[in-house]
Amino acid sequence: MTEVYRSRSKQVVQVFMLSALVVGGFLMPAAAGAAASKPLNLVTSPLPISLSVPPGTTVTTDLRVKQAGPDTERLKVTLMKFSAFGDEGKPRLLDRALGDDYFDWVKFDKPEFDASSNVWQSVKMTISVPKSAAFGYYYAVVFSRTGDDKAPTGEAQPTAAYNGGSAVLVLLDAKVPNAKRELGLVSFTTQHRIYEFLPSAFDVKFKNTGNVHAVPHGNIFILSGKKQLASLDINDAQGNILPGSNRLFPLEWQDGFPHFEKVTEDGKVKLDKKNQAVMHMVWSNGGAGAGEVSPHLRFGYYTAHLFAVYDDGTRDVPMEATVGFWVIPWRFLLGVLLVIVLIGAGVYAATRGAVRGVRKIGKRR
Amino acid sequence: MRWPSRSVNRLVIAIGLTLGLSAQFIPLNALAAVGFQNAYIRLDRMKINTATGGTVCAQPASVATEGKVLVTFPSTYTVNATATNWTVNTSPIPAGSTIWPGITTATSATSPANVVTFGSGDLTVGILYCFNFAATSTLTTAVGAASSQQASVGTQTAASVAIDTTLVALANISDDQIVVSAVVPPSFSFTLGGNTDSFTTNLDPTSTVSTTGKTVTILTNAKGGWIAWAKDSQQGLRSATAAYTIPVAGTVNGVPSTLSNGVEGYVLDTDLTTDAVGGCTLVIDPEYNGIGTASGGTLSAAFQPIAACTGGTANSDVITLIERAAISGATPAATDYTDTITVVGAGNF
Repeated sequence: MTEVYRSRSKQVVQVFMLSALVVGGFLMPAAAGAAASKPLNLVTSPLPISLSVPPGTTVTTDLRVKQAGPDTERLKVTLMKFSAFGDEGKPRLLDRALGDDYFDWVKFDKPEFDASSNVWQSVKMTISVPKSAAFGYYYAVVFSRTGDDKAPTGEAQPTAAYNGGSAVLVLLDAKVPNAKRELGLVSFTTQHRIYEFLPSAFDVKFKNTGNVHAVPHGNIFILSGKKQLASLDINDAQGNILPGSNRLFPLEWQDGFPHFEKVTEDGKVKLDKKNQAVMHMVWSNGGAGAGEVSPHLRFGYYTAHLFAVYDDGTRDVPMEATVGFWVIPWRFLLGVLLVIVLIGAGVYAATRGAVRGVRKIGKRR
Repeated sequence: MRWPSRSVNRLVIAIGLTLGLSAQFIPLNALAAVGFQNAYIRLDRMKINTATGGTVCAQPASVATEGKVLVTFPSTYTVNATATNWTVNTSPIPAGSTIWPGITTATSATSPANVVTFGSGDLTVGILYCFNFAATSTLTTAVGAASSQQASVGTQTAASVAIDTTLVALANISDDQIVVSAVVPPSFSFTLGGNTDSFTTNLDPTSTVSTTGKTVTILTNAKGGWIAWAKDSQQGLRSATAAYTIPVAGTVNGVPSTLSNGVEGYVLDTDLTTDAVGGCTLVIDPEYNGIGTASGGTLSAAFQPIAACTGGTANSDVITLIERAAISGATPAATDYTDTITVVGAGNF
């Protein structure tokens, strides 16, 4: 009996092992075929390149790229274009479309190349601008790893593949006499009419109504009456506005005591569940006044005066606007009012009690 | 008058010789000023024809009560004769030295003798004392480059009796500074955490399944910040063997789409993982800013902005890309559902 049991047990084990081998055999190729997810680290330079050339000339610019992964990678160069869209002028990246003949003007000396780890590679971009060219052309040169645009195979689970790329934006101005470099101020608004404490936030929106990109810059002057309290730079990064598009420049005036600041932890801005920065009150001056001992108390009505200019090719064209806002620390004021009311009520009650007491004594007499 | 006798002469000669020999054995410092154990002048600038301050250090060798320190500069140097310009301080002084006690602003400065006299307290033999003199309207180095130009440091009593004096050499060169220059080029660093991202389990009609997520890390010194876009190869998860696509959910309308269990759909959720301090403000595009574990933005064949950081540079901003999918009971079975999403980042224009 024991012998039979042992024999059967052995058979069961053998069958189980065989099954495991068979099943494993089916699974193994899939697992072996699945490529490991491979990071991509690209560093590109310079940042947006502005070129300005007359039609009928050729211009060459160096684009530099470094892949900082551990292995040599095969990189490729892809030419795209960019523009801006929407009310706020969001940047948009686009593939070549029908009629985009200006893509044909561009040649790269190395459309594909091996990039050793941490070695800068220089790629020459040559643009042969024809005589018929005019105004602005906006290229995006994208560096990416070859083969990453292929769908993965052999994955154990449904899988998404990423084809990562780093783009260098190139703004080409084909200089012609009838170029129209023109900006307009669409709006200058404050996000709230009343702030409890600073920062107060402003949105400045420009529109390019010309046919070539332009750069606005200027200041918002914060005034209390006629006294200037602060000056905020508009577009100190010298960002461009593309023809036919808007661009929004948000600004904040933070120099107040106390003021709200973003909470930070370990070098990161702390976010709430809605991905909004968590704010906290800081009992010191903020912004440009940080470090100054005397508190910059903000209370009352303020005006923000915008003064910006752009170069239309011959002169600086000014744009101006003004908006007003209040800073009222209403919770603090309510607290003070409550304390005053309580003290008043206390004084009233005490006085009333004393008067009644005196009357009672008078009546007894 | 008679000449002294011969014996007297001999006596005089003997006394003279004795005195002469004895003089050889009398300590020198009892006769005249001797040198310091150590003394030097270290000027702040060696460049020719340049205004400079400096440090004077000396280690006395003689026991006496000092009242003055005299610094004599080379004749090729120009000494400003306004004594009050020659202010002093004692911080910093060279390591291992002691603050010169009682040092005061110069009481005299002479030109062309080039002697500057400072007040001094009493010094102790064997201790190295130092002080600094100011650079403004005091000393100007020689017009021509030269080495070993003679200067001296000396101490005197308050009654101007010399105590210790040491000659020192000063040198000038045509230029004493190296200009260090460096270029920080504008750059944009884009790191994608991996090129594949598998769903954590098989897709299931009873739940919404997500991928593990891949990070995109961006560093840039572009003052305008950065932008990232994404586009999809086939607007869904495609199986070649089943010839079927689990389609993207919703439309690109600035609002994320929410998947429902049992209803086919596929979205990209972009999470804000790190908005690095001190730089631009990172904002996820509302379309792709999914809430919870079942929503995200609609993937498109055209590039759509998924995140942007404006108003400054970025020092390791991180966003995390997560795909989410739901299937119905009728979704064809296959093991090869895949999709390719192109993600591109750039420094802002």
